[in-house]
Amino acid sequence: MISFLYFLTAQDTAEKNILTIIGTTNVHGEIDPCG
Amino acid sequence: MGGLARKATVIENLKNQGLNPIILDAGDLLFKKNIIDPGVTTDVAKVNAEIIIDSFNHMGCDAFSLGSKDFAGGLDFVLEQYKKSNFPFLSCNIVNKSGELLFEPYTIIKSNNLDIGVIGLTSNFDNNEVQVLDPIISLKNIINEVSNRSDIVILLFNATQQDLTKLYNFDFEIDMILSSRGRTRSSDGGSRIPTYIAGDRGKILYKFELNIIDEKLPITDLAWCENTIKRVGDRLEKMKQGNPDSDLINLYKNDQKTLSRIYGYQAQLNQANQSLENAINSITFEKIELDKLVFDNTKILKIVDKGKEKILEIGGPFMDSKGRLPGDPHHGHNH
Repeated sequence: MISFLYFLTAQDTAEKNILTIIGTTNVHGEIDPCG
Repeated sequence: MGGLARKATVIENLKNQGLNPIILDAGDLLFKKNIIDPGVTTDVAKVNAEIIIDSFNHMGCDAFSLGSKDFAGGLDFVLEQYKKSNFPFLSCNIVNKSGELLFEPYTIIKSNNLDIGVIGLTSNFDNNEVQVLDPIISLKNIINEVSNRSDIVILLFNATQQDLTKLYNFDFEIDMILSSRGRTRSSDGGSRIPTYIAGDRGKILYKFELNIIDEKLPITDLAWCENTIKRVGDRLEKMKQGNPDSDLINLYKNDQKTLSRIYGYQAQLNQANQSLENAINSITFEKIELDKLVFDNTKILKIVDKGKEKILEIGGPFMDSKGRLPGDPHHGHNH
């Protein structure tokens, strides 16, 4: 029983955390679409 | 191609998909150059910068780390924008003449049950209103504090290549670097700490996906692994001189120089394959081009249009060399 509970807990902690990051660099003051 | 209104649409779409993106900018955001011609040109550039800050306030930004070009309008202007912004301005090594930090050195962002530490840093630049402390020493002074408070640490670095190389030799607990100042668009994060330059002139966004299973382990850059396997694999194939069954070691047994190269390539291939097999946490990315297929967010367009009216009122900019007026999307440049 204890082994089974441990297994369940381990499965929870193994779930992925997915982070979505949007990165921009060097915009250089450009504001406008150009095509 | 490019533009704030299109970036806003991308962000909105991601939020509508429930992805809760973390939005970061690594600097050289506000101005095109370190020094701008005085007069109308500076005034126009400042209005442009204000448009960017207003737009970022609306579309959302979780952290902006200042770079050298961001001070082109003067320190007072930057501090005004800092007050107007609803997002953190970061730098752990830009100080005033008294040696005091001008901005927060880092921020902690909570996302998906993780604490993300984001540090702002810049390589040295010349400016008579601020001082730039040594970036590596500044990072050493702060990294433990940030690392102890975070599950993941991201560095936003307006970096010279030289400083990046120095940084890699220190084994800092940094999971990912977003770098500005360079002009290349990264095709992977490289073989050290995943490091990306996400394009320039706001034409492209990079969307990163970090899959974190155990935050105590490093993050494997899957694109680097795959690119290395392809690149090195192609080189080794080419050396087989048209016979895919060739045994390279035997083929070049009398050519020590080439043999040495082959061993080097095989080691790189093994390292990449092992990294891929052993990856627990990973980073992948997608380039999002802000082209015509991306709709313009109307709220941001209004901010941009209002700014353009202000630019006309202050008397600039005028027609460019091709006779194009402001408002022409190709004003001032060709493709």
